[in-house]
Amino acid sequence: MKMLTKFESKSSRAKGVALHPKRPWVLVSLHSSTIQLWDYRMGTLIDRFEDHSGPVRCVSFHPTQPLFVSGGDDYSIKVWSLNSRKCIFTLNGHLDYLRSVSFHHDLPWILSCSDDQTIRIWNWQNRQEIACLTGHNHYVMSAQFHPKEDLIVSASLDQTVRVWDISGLRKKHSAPTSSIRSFEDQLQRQQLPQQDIFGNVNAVVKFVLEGHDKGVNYAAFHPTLPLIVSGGDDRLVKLWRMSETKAWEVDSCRGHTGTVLATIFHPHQDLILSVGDDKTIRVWDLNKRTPVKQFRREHDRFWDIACHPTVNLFAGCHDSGVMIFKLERERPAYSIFQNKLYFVNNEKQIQCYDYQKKETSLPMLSLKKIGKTWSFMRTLSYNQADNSILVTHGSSDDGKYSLITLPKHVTGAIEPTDARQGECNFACFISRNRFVTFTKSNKSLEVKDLNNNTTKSIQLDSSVQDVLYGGPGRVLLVKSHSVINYDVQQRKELGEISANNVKYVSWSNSGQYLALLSKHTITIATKDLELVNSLHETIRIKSAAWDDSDVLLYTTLNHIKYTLLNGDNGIIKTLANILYLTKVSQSKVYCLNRAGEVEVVTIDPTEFRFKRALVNKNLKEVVRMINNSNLVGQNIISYLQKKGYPEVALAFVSDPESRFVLALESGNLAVALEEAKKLNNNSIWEKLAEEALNEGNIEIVEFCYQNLHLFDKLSFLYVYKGDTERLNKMATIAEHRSDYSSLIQNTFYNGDIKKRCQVYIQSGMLPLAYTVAKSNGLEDLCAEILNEAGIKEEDIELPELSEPLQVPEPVAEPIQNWPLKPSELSFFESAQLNGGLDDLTLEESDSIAPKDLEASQLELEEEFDDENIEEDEGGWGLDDDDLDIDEDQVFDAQTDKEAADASNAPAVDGEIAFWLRNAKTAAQYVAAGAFEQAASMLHKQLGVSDFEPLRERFLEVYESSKLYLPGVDGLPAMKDYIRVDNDEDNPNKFLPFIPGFEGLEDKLAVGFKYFKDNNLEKAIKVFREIIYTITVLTVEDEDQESKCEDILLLCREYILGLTIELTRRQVETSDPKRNLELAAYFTRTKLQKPHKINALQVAMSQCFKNKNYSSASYFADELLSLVSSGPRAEQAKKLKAKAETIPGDAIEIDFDSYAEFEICASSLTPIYKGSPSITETLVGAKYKPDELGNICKITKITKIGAAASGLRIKG
Amino acid sequence: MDFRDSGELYTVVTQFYTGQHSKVVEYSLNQFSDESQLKLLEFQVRSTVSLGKDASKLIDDGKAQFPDNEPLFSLLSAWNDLHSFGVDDSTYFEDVKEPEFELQAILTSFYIVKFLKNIDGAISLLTKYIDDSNMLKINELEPYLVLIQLHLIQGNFGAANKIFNNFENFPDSAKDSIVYQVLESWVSSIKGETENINNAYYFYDEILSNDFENDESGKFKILNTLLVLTIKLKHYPEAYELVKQINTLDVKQVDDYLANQITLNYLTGKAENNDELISKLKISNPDHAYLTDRAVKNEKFTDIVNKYKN
Repeated sequence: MKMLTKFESKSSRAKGVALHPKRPWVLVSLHSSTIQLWDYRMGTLIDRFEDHSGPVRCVSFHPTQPLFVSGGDDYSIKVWSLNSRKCIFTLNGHLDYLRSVSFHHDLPWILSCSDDQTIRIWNWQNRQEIACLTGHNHYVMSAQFHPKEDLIVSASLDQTVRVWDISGLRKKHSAPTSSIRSFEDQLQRQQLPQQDIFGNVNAVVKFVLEGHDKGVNYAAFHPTLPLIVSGGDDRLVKLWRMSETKAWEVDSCRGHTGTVLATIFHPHQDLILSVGDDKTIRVWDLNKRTPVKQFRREHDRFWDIACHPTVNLFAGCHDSGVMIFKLERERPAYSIFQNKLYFVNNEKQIQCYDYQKKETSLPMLSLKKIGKTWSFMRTLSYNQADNSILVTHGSSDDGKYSLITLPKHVTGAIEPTDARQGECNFACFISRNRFVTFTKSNKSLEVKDLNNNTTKSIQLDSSVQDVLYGGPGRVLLVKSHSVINYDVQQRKELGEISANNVKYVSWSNSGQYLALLSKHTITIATKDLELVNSLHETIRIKSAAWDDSDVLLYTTLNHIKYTLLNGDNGIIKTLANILYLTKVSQSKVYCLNRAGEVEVVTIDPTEFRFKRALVNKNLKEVVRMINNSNLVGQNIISYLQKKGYPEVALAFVSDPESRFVLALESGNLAVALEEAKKLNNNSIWEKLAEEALNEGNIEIVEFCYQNLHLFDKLSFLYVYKGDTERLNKMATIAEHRSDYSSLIQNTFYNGDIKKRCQVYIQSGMLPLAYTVAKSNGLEDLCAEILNEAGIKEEDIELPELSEPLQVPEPVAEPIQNWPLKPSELSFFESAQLNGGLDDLTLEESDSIAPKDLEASQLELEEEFDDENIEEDEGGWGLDDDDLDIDEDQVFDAQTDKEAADASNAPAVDGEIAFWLRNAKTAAQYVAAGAFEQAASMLHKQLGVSDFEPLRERFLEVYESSKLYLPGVDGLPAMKDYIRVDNDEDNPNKFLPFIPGFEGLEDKLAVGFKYFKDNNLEKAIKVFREIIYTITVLTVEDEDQESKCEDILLLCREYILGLTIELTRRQVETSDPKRNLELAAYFTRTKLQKPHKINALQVAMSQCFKNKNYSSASYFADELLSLVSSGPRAEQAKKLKAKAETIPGDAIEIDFDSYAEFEICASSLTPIYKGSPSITETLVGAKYKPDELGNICKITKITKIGAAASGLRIKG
Repeated sequence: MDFRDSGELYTVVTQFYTGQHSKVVEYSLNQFSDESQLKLLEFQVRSTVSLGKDASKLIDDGKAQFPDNEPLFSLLSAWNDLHSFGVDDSTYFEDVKEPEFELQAILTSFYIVKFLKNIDGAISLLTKYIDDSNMLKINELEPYLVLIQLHLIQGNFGAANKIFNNFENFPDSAKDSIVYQVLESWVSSIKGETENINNAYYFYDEILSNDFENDESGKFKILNTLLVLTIKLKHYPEAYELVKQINTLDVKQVDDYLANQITLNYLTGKAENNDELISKLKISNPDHAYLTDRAVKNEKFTDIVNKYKN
């Protein structure tokens, strides 16, 4: 058991404490007269309530209303509103310090007790005291309503605990009135009979519990059982039981070294908690009354303890504050294997949840007897090899592990029979037959086998705090400020990343990424511990799981959230209760809750998928989602804006203001103008004018200026445009407005000197007018001016004038819009406009179930006499197992690209031109001679990178459709062609004939024949040729296509198997382990039945020869399950009988007969399910991640892990 | 050639245009009327050359018999000499820039293709010859035949088909001409579709019903054409039957046949025999389109290999 402190406040001399039933709030009443309200999740002080004078010893929340009650040394009870944060009213009546106050769970009553030796009940609705319970003859230290019945338990320094029956009071007040009763009414009630001798009518003492030798400080009811717990100055915690008629002492819990000040029952578990002035919180076993655990503070006496009604939390108050804690972790231990979740439920039983069937199994194993009674199962690791689990339990100083085999058949929670145990703080499986344990005290990491023997012991650095699972053969060493990826086999540190106080790790499904979880931080790194991103949460992070597209979902106390690898994150859902994510699958999130049950939460993944699509620039997907899903909200809009996709955001917005801003940002002036018209205010027009000017859209600029009445700017715009007509209008307008300054300006612009002069004249500026007229040669006007002024020309002295100034003529036509900023339609906009995305649908592409090779029924006419085949030779038959065919992904976008590439084909005429135009598959391009297009397609579809092996096939396909028709003698022959369908008369469907499909089965038979003849290299060559044939092939329909896919898989398995066998034959005799491993892996390749028998025979006899009798027996069994009679069966039976007399394996090999695994086609080692692996696209060969980018060993042409869309051979 | 009065020469013309040259040279001039003798002689000279024999004597005799036909005999001499002595001796065809009569145009175009390897040049020469005549040379069909073949050698079915469709402008009687039927068979074959291929097939099948006892090269040519059509129809067992038949014949010019056999082997999954066929083809005609095309494609493929290697 462990005390996990969730919150601590520094508050001097806390006396009373209460936990809010719904919100993360705790009330603390202080000796100083203050009451504090804290949010213990956020760690913030929400408010202080100060109305009492003197110490406040007790507080309590109303179970449902936004109210709380407090009682102080000022004799008063105060009722406070949590809404207004004010004291609503005060209940006066007690004559001494208040010791406890609380609300009734159901009736509008408050219960209080006081040093005045009374217990009083108040109706808080009419604010009346409705009962006063007398009987105690010393301070009443505590009083409490029974959670269900009409009882009260009280404790007093008179050394008694009393149980009171208040059913009479309920009857009397069952219909409480809200109005204050009249004096007469009260008088009348006092006349009622049934009074006892002390005048108490409504409450009678039911039991007086005597047993404490000194004053009793606290008494509490059990939440469900007829039990009472009390604590007193005699340092004892006493347990009492009561029946309808009597009550008696059951036992005492001894251990406190000072006064017991408060004690309560654990709300869910059979535990008692008590606090005292000996500075301890003690936990007792209710059934045995023995101490379970104690927690001591150095200097602080504890005064009160409270439990949360629903959540597993306790609050204890002491001399220097309050602490919120829980007694154990609530994270159910779990482990995922394949499609199953193994977890420990709240009854400490192992259960299994099937993600596919969405079913929880019956409990399969009880762990109650594993470890100490109250020890919690912290971690669980599952090993499929022998169907066992490894659990760790206990606290850091006495942690243990237990390795237990699960029952084969689930019949209910049975007790484990073969638990292998040891000490450690962390343990997990790292391979089929090994697990590691880490002991914190001596920092040792031990590798153990399934018999619990230590095979290796590693002394770790003293700074290692914890260990986490790090993938097969690896662990993560957790230090205070960093995490190290550690290879246990090589004892080597592979990488390090700095991250503080990491507690948990979550590996992505691909094994490429991991998320390290600390209390408030998630650090995302690659598998090699290179930092990808990290994020901080203000509230606690509880768990994380990856979806299939490497989006991390995680839970905090309140939410399910997501984060993309680039750090973009958001909230998916608000949570009522804390959930631990185990798996994310499309829109389903599989969680464990604190009740140890699986909860399936449906989420809307649209937002993060949308963002991911945007981040990956998958704009087609973006458009699809915009068109089809209900993505809305300010959140997504501001995200798009922030990420620089205003044009995408525009699609979501209808509000004109936002549309305007987004349209401006995306340079979409048309939309901006439209919205500006709706908004029609100056600042909008100004902004639009500015942007339009930037973009050279003069029309819009003009429109804006007109709206803004910016006449001068308009005039200048017209000058700039060379629009004299409008310029003249501007002059007229200026004149109308009597704005002479503007008018003069316009005359400058349009060169209207006469007008200018007239304005000068009108304004009385004759000299200026004259000068202007004169200098421009307007003699008539000059004369007029002179006339008006009444002077003669000679009177005026002007400087020497040059030629009249010629105002340059503007361009003939006013200039039009002159786009300055490139404003091409983005992909998004054009997609929206053209709607060329009809083929996209919103339906999720359902995962294609792995294909069943057997179901496809390859009609392979095989005729092998498997009985006559020598060892190491043999025919090869269809396996009964399924082949894992990876889901074929179809990348529409890529296909388009391919098609676009293809359109670059050389210009030709005639038949070839038709073929090129109509070609869809790589083979058709090859036949049409467009090798580059074909190669490009194959590269994109399949990741083909080494083309050399395909040379022959290319030439074959190309030449197979060409003929030479002899013509006139002396001239070369004419080119003639072979079409796939001679009955086709539509040139748009003319396509070349591609040979190969009809011959596939014959070729397979040739491959088998070579194999039978023990000519393995040749067999491999033939199978590879078949792969090449299918790579450059066109088939007519889906049946043929799926047949080709099946054959590809068959070839893959045979090439892999033969390679394993060839490698095995070359293994040095000095390395029997490798020899045996390869023999074993050979049996796992999916061969046809008669051939599998051969593989099994090899493995069986090799194992037997090398004294691996258990394995030999296993292979013999497997062989016998395929063939039950004949010489080989007989041999297997004999060998099995012999092997079983000498159990055990002399050489331990990396082969787990029970585990599902793929074989890495390069290293020829297993990749167990769940381990990271990468896939080759053409045949789906599996590889370990370090093979990324290498050429596939099976096909010899494709790149491993290359981004590829998959084989497309259907014409 | 004047098809309108070809009644007398009908058989000869058919034999000539279906490659039965051995039969053509068998005829004696005096079996025919005077008007037809010169034409027959012309065919015989050409057939002799086609059979790889020297036609000097025929030409000399002809010159004596038909003294007013100097240009024709100069042409035939040059043609004969070309095949006997190669290009060095005569510049006759070099000097023909604008052919003056049908045969000159035809033989010059052959020369351009065969010795200058310039199919486009031959096409433009013939096109010009046809276009230059102000009236439709309805009595001269052979230039069309050659032109169509030249286009089809280049895989330009569109151009060939266009010329073929022009025959709509010819009198119906032109379609009775063997030349027309031959070129129709080519166009049908290359145009594809079962019916067209079948029509072409029957055309040659019918010719095959003639007596080929002493004409192995003629029979070979028909069988090779039938082989192409049979493969096109994907009648592979029948194709192998034809191969069997052809293999019994003693012929020299087998390059097209070898190339077609390679295709047949690919189609029937017997590609293992192709290396041998390719070697034979290299000996038979190192310039055969199959080999040059294969070399180009191989080179192209090498570029692809290098491109994606890194």
